[in-house]
Amino acid sequence: MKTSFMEKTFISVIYLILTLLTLVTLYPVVYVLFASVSDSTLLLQNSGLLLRPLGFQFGAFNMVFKHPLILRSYGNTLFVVIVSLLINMLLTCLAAYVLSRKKFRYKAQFMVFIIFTMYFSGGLIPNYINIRSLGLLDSYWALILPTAINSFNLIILRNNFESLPDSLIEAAEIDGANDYHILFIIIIPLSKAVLAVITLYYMVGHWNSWFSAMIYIQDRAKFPLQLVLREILLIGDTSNVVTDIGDSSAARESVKYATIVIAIVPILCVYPFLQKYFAKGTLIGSVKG
Amino acid sequence: MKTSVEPTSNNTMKVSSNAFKTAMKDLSVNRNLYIMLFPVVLYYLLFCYKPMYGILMAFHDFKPSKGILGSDFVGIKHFINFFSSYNFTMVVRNTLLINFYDILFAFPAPIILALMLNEVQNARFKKICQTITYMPHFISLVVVCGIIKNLTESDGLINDIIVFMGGERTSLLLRAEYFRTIYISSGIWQHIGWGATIYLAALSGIDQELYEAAQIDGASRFKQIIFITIPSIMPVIFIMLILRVGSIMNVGFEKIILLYNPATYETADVISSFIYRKGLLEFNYSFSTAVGLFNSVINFILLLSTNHLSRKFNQMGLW
Amino acid sequence: MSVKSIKKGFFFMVGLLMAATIISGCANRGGDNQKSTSSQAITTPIGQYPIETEETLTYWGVLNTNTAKNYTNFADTPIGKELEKKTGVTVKYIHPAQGQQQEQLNILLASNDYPDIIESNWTSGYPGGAEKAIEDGIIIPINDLMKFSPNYERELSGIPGLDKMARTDSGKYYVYATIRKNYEESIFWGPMFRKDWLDDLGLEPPTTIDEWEKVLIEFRDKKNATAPFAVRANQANGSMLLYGAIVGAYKTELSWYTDNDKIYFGPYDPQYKDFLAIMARWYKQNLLDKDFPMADKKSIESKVLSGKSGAFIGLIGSEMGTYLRVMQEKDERFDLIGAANPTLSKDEESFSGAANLPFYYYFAAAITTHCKNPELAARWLDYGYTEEGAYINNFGVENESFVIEDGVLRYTDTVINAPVEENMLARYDRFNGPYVALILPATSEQTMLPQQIQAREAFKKNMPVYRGYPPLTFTVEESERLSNIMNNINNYANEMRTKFIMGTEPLENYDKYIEQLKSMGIEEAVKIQQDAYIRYQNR
Repeated sequence: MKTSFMEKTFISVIYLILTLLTLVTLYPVVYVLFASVSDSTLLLQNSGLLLRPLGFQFGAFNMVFKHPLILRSYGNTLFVVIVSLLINMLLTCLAAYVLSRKKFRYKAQFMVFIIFTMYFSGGLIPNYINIRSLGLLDSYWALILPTAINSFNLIILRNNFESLPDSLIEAAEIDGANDYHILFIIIIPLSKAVLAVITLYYMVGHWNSWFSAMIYIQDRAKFPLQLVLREILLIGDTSNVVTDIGDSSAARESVKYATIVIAIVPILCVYPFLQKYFAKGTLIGSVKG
Repeated sequence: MKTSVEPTSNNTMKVSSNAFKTAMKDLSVNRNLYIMLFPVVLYYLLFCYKPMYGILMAFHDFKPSKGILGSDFVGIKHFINFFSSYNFTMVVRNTLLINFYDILFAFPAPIILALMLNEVQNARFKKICQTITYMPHFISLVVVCGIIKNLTESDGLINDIIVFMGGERTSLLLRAEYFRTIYISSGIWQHIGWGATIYLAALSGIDQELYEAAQIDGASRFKQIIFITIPSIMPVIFIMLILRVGSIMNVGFEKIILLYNPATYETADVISSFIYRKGLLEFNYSFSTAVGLFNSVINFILLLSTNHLSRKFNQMGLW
Repeated sequence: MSVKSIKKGFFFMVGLLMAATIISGCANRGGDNQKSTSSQAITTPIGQYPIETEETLTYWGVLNTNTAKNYTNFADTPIGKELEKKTGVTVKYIHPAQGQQQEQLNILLASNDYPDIIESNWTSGYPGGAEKAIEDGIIIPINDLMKFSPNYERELSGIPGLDKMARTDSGKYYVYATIRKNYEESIFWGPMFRKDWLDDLGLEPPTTIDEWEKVLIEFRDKKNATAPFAVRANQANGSMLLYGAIVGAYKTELSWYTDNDKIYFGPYDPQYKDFLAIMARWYKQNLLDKDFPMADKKSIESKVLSGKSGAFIGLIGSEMGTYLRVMQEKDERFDLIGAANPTLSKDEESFSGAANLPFYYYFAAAITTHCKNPELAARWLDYGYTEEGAYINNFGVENESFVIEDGVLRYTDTVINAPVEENMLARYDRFNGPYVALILPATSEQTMLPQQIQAREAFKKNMPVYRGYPPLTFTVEESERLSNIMNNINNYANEMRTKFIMGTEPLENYDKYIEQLKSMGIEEAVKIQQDAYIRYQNR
């Protein structure tokens, strides 16, 4: 083929760019990893690139696990993420399905009903008062229920459901399938890729969230991991002093990074499992443009 | 089950009892759909619409002991305060510019990454590449900003490169003219892989037969991208773009606060950091609600108009 | 999976969701109802502990970062347990997330449902000040409760001028603040130098601005320091730690200060220009850290430990102490020395300095309007001002963390000899709250390095008079006006200071800057402050 030289260059350029990009985006991760096993003092003295651990040690991880809250908050986060995900996926699928059906009469109205909430909200205080009046204050449900549906994810999922061929659904309806059947047995298996993305979005959202916990959770034993992580990262920036006591524990700088490592490892492990759904050709049949 | 969707003309004047009848009829015909929708509607009513009376705070002088509705009504005083404040034009300009450049550079970046990954045949390389580019998204902003500070310091790596190329050492974060560049490029660096996931999912849905047919016709790889791949993921791109434009007045304040300093206020101070200082830290809720409402209204209008335009020219929209 | 089972499952989930909402709702409401039992009279005589009561108190306050390394709740700490034992009152502590306390407090206040006691900065932290917090119906004045707090009352009259600081203009007492008994000893920060460098170069710690410049030049040229003088500048409310030490040489301050019965705004002073000039010169000559507007505690630490900086303004404990202990292992010669703030000529006294008020109001406990039993709260809070209570709050548990031998209080070996990671000293210190804060020479000797003690002595020279901001009170209109003006001005003054020093704004434009301050209303702000200051003096 005469284009083969062009094609080869084209592909090589893509490989080159991707390799560079991979190296560049790898750096922050490597930085955190190396920093977590480095000697704190050497770490502070160092100012350039961090290309290897400085004075190898694992003391930071020891200290992290000794922290009174980290392991506990890990469990809290896991609980909240798992329960949230179940509710999220169920409700989002239901809503997306209904809003994707042509036969549903008030589709446009409901879309506006939903999109409106993406832009207008009561704000912090009324939300807080609402949660309190529902009796959810200081409970895990305050972290789970208010985020039961994310409108952004709902829209993405609905658009995906909508793009599935009508003929599939029509055929099922002629066979006598009802809406639950169509959703759970026909549509969901066909939308694995986008469902994987949505799951990921929800999961990461819950995993990283700290703001609602900061507002609604008072009992420190119920803090999620990210809130504890923030406290550790921001330690030592207090400007008011009554009695100024020295904090000379040698590992304090690397402890910050060790905490980050243990906070991101689980979420990184999830990706490869979801990745397989992004392989080509999961969808059988044609796609409507 | 038989559906009865009769095309109703919008021009017909409908009496409300008629509308009610239609609704009841629809309710009985599509009972399952309404049952499915019930918990969803419940959620939105309970957690989104119920607290929405809080918007009224923008028109009151909120006092905790009096409650939101019991506080003194002050009309648009807070809006006037905002519009006439010393840095109003500056924060609005900065917010819009950061978002404009962000849409220009950071929005297409994950799409390009996804397209490039799609061309890679080596499954292993592709997997590694995907996983790694996706990782920085999870590193706390505090740490990422720490790394950015490290790299841009007067004796940091970027300055070493500048000096090597014959430039002069400067602390880059102290130069107002570089703030947006640093902000946006670091944003791409952190989120490109994460942003690409949605496009990768869309790419996975493309019918392989289309490519086979194109290959038989002798279309080059590049042509296949232009004529098959991009059109196939266009709906996703448009949805994302419409949603992105609808948040043009938003910039996360956290990263701004971590990166800005008095020397770069003129390009770095945005509406959200302004609200943060005024509202949450200075206990001026009514004021910050007013600014937030102003923001939301503009965003919402922009969303409605992009959606309208998109429907008009692409037959695609959110609704 | 059959359609029916899916259908069932779906209904089940919906039902579950709703049930969960309702159940958790009821459960918590039940809890709320329990609270409102009527309080019985306390029979224990005033000033006697333990108090006999069944009732509990709720207490909102920040858990100190040092304490949080080992405990999740103050009630679990040795001090918390000891306090409960001695006072006989069970207290439920609610701690906000660190670093977010202001946001969290504001939400709590706005929601109109408060715990019994809130520990915060009621004097200058609440917009509009204490008088406004009382008017807004958040906290109550404690004048009528003073009879239940004889020890606090005694402490307030123990130090001249203290009583005045604790009241508002209209004479209301409103908080139980930290009282620094020996506040002359409460010196925490000042200029510090690399002693080993000074020795190598045959230099003495500098005392004047000219000497400083000489030392910094030597550091730059002979010690290859790339940022000889490192300062922290971008800290929103910690302006004392900035180049405060330098600005004092020019007889002004970085913010509001008092001088001879008058109140001034430093960045509006004519002599402030001279300060900017010297800083700009140092910046230009690479004597001042080039990255100074972004500097924070960590970056200063990094510059000092890596030998890029030889002079900095630091804290005696968490900076000097840490650097010395950490570097002792790596580099035996590394040494630091503290020096008094510089002046323009040898025989002057520094204008600005490290002196503190005996009334420390940043972590002061106020009783809220929602408190069911203010008498109990007042009695319980008073314990921190008894001798026994003060010892517990400062030094922990007697015979466990401290002993009193021949009338001298000393730490026990368990505390002193524990490895640093055990964080022992911090476990037995409350750090902040409503009590008498003590600094005792004997314990200082036990816990401090000789360099730290030397530094504190050196910093004592800094300033005999407290020139900082007294706890003024404003009327509601005044405070609204003042915050409107000052928010903009502070931002602008910060921005311009940075630009003048970096040279991006030439100093010739100083007059323009002053004009701009005027147009932003600085004169009015000064007048409001002055009026409040006169009222304060007349209390």
